[in-house]
Amino acid sequence: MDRFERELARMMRDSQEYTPFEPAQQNSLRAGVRVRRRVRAAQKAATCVLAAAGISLGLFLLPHAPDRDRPLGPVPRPSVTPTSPDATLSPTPSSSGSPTESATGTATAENTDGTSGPPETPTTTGSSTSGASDTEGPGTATTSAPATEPATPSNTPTSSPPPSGLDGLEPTSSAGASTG
Amino acid sequence: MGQARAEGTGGFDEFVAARWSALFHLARLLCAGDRHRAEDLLQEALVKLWFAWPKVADEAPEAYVRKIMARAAARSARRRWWGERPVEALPDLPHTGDESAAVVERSRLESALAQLPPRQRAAVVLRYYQDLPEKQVAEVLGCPLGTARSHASRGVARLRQILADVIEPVG
Repeated sequence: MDRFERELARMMRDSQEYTPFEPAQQNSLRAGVRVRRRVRAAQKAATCVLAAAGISLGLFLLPHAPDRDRPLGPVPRPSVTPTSPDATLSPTPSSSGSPTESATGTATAENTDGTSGPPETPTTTGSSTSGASDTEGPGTATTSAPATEPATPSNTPTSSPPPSGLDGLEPTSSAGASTG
Repeated sequence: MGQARAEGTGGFDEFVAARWSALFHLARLLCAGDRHRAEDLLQEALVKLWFAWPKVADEAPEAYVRKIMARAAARSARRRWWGERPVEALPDLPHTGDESAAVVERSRLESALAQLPPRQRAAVVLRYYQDLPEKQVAEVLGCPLGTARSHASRGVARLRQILADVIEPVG
């Protein structure tokens, strides 16, 4: 510490003058303490409110989270169980190599079996409900697979005698032709 | 503070009353002689001390206040209401009629300190008025030792230029 630094230190110390702690300063100090206490209380309350809101929001969203976050997979298709005893394989929903004239899902199941082409034994695994639908749909009238099962009115929609109770309901001309 | 003792702040008033003058002078040096700023700085530090009193009462409450004031003064350049503008001429003295050498010397010192950046001023005051070693200056300012040393040396170099005519070099 050289002379200038010593003189600088001396000047700093000598310039000190006695300053009493006056009541006005004491009052301002009290006011400052009160203000700071209020600010701290407000901050603490705000923190508690925010924490409670966050927790409640988290609890509200937590039960719904797994359903929403689950990745969307392929839509499960209704499993078609073979009703006829001839069908050994379950039909798969793959649409590869579908027959040219078949429009039902049961025919595709047979293609997966490996027996492509004209089916020798077209096992109509679509049960009787599919056959009933074939009678109603005009596009399904072309399926001319020789069915071994007795319930094959869909294959010959024109020659099949319509049910007596469905005369007025079916728009096919076969029913009208038979009656008239 | 009637409830001071109930909250564990007993002795706070006595400490403030006993050390007010010295702390106020430190604050005034840190603020380059600005009395109002010094009062605000000291009051802010004492309010913080009041809340920390149960922890620091038995240790070093004055060091705690000194650290708060030094750091706040070093940050004062970031506060717009504490913005400083160095002036060429000396500011008006509060006691213009007093021509004593002590007053003139103090005003010259405060004017010279006002021309320093806040961090350099804080480092110089802590180093030469508080007589703290450089390591402790760095600790109080919350900066590395080299930074504190640089602030102090640059501040002293600047003061040496400003106060060259007041403090005459040894011939």
